[in-house]
Amino acid sequence: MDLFQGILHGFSIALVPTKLFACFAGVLVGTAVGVLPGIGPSGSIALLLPLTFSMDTTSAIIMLAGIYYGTMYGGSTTSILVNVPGEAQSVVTCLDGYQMARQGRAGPALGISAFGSFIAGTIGVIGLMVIAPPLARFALEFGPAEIFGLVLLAFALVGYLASGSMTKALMMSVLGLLLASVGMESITAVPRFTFGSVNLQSGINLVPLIMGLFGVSEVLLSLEESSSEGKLNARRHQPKFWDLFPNRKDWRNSFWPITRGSLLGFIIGLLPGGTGIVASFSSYGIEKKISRHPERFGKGAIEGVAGPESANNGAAQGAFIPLLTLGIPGNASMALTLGALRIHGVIPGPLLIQEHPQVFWGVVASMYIGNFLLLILNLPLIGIWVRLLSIPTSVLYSMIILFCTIGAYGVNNSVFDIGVLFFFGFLGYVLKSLNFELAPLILGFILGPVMETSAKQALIMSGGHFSIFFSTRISTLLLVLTFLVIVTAVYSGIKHGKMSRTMEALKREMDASKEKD
Amino acid sequence: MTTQKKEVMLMKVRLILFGFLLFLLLSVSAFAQVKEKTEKEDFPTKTVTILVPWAAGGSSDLTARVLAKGLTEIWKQPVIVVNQPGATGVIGSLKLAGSNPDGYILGLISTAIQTTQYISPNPTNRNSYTYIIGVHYDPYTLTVKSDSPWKNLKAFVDYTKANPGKVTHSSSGASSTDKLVSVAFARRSGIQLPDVPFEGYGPALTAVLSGKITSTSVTLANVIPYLKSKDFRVLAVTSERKLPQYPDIPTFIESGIDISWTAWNGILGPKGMSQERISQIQSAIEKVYTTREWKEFMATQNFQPFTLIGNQFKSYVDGIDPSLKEMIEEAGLVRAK
Repeated sequence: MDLFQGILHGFSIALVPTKLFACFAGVLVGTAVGVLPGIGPSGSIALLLPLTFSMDTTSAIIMLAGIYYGTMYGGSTTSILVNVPGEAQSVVTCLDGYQMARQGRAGPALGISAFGSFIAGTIGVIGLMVIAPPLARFALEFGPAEIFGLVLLAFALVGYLASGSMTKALMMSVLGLLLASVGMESITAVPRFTFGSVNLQSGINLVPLIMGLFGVSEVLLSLEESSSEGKLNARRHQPKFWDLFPNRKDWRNSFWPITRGSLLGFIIGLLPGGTGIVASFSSYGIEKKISRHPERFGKGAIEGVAGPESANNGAAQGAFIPLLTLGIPGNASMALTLGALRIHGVIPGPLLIQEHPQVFWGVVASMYIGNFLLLILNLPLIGIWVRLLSIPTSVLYSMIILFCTIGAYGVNNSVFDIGVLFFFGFLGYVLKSLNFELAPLILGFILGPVMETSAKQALIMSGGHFSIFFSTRISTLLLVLTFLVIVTAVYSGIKHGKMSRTMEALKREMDASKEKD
Repeated sequence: MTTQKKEVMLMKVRLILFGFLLFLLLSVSAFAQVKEKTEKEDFPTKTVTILVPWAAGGSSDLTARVLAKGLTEIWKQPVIVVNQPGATGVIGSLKLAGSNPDGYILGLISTAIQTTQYISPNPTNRNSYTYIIGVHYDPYTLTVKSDSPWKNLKAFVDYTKANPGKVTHSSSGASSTDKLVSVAFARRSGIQLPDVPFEGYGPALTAVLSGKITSTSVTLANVIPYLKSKDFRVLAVTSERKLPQYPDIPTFIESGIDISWTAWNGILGPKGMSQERISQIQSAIEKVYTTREWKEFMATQNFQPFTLIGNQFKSYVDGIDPSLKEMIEEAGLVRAK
């Protein structure tokens, strides 16, 4: 059936009370899961999977999908309010979102996050609906060589994440690379840095790592504040109602970041290995690079919230494309959704749209509805979230630690992961106190293995010839872009760097002394 | 101290005492589980756990969940699935081996415990388990794109011999069982078949779908959606006999290559379970196998039933172990201490 018929069919399925309820339940749970630090979409989808047995297939997938993209909305809440990411993907939002909150602008940050997510989600669904199959085939063009180029480009943008010392940021990204190498190596199965422990054989898990580094460390840092300051500084002043929403200037600044973030996120989401984290990091890096005032980033620039938040929602929608059009799950949550489909007897594959159009179109239609529901759910909540900060920090932070611990355990039912959580909590505390930025560490940790693995895979495929990295247009383009990014960074470094500033200062002195003569 | 402050303090003390008592009560009750009833009693009288050493959503996990649902209906006690992934299934498998053999903890275990005996630096031991009943098996394949010129295994082998360096192969992981199949296949047919490990069967299949990799040995159930969409062609399967649903696909043995072991899944328990308990569980599971839901599940997933029980099951596993060990040594993957 063609596009128009398809989407009408989809709405006729999705606008029925049972499906609407499934959608609402899904996005509600998703938002809650997103807000709670530590507990993530894959954990909650896994928990609710048995519940979906008794539902019909379409309702089940509508609900699970709702949970998944719903978490992308809620994840930014704690990132902005208390500098603790609600989801791994929301790490980047901490950078500028929290700064905005400290300036009393938590409301606009939350607001632009909600709106950006909605716009990105809607663009994503349109993309899913209109060009899913061709996009899926496009994604197939990304083999190991192309992925290597993509990741290298993302790494080149790492420098733009740093607001402070570049040296420290690079140190952190190397530390991230080192941490990522723990485990059995992906091509030869050689154990690295496992110290004989079976728990380290699969490497360090991402969720306890991020929750520890960003969540637990933040709580530990707050212990430093004197106990008389029982409430967070951020909202000494209760903001007026309209201050809770982004103003015109905010919208002007955010328009392009949201657009760019949505598209970027969507494309990254459908590529193999593309996740919400990669999308939000890349969006942040790009926005900072393109911005006329890059120095504002890290100090509460709304672009640093609008872009990444749109990107991770775009990626959430994009992730459905390989699943629904080819039957290939791009991440753990998609794998669970695939499992749910399989249990209902729907085997995802290239024929899903033809054989089960009601599932595909029903889910697509429900995504429009879901994104809209999320917007109207999240906007009124902004006022409540801002009030949340009035809870005494002793209670608030205890709850954060509790949820982080539950989340860390729940990923793999592993007590070891709780240890990982607290180990990195302390490490993060030390690093933050010494003014090291942790975002580059996460980037290194996530991208490092992808880079290493894809490079090795490409070289096996080519029999050891490096020419494979220039064998397709895409891979060549990506490597050229990487080169350009590095070159322009070096150029502007030279132009505005210490050497030229010193030279200018010298010149001024010479001129001044000439005047005297 | 004023009377008011005294009262407040008294209240706090009372509250703390009460809370402490409650805590004691709860912790005592947690320990004072009704002692395990003697073997002759009904089984089960409380929740049964099926441990799955893989992440949720995978085929082992799905199988366990459907089985758990069926058993819950028969036993009228909750049967839950707990995922404990990590280290290619070793973490969960070791946990199962160390659990209480009273029948309340079972595991959905696969061929992986045999390979991790040799591949994992922290090895499993297939003798640490009670083999209760098999669930399903899934043969490995040699799969290529349908627009490739080879119609059978021999054509593929001949082409690869004549064109070294042009043919590549994807596997679902550096220490995966399908990689072992490809290594054995290459050795025994005398060809060079460079294997590119990916992370899971999904990316391994995508690599072939994109045309960047020539072939893969991923198990049949995962390939079938692409057979139906006519994207892939399966040149051979590793089962001992042809599959009734796919009479056109020859086996490796028929094609002249001696590989005939498949990926098996079964219900295992820790070593030392009583025969009575084993029989109770076996009969319950066999009842589940007769239900319509189970049969539908097996059919839609394209799994082949694997119904060996008890000692037959163990003998089967022991029987294929030497050739697995050999293949692991051939592939240079021995890492166990």
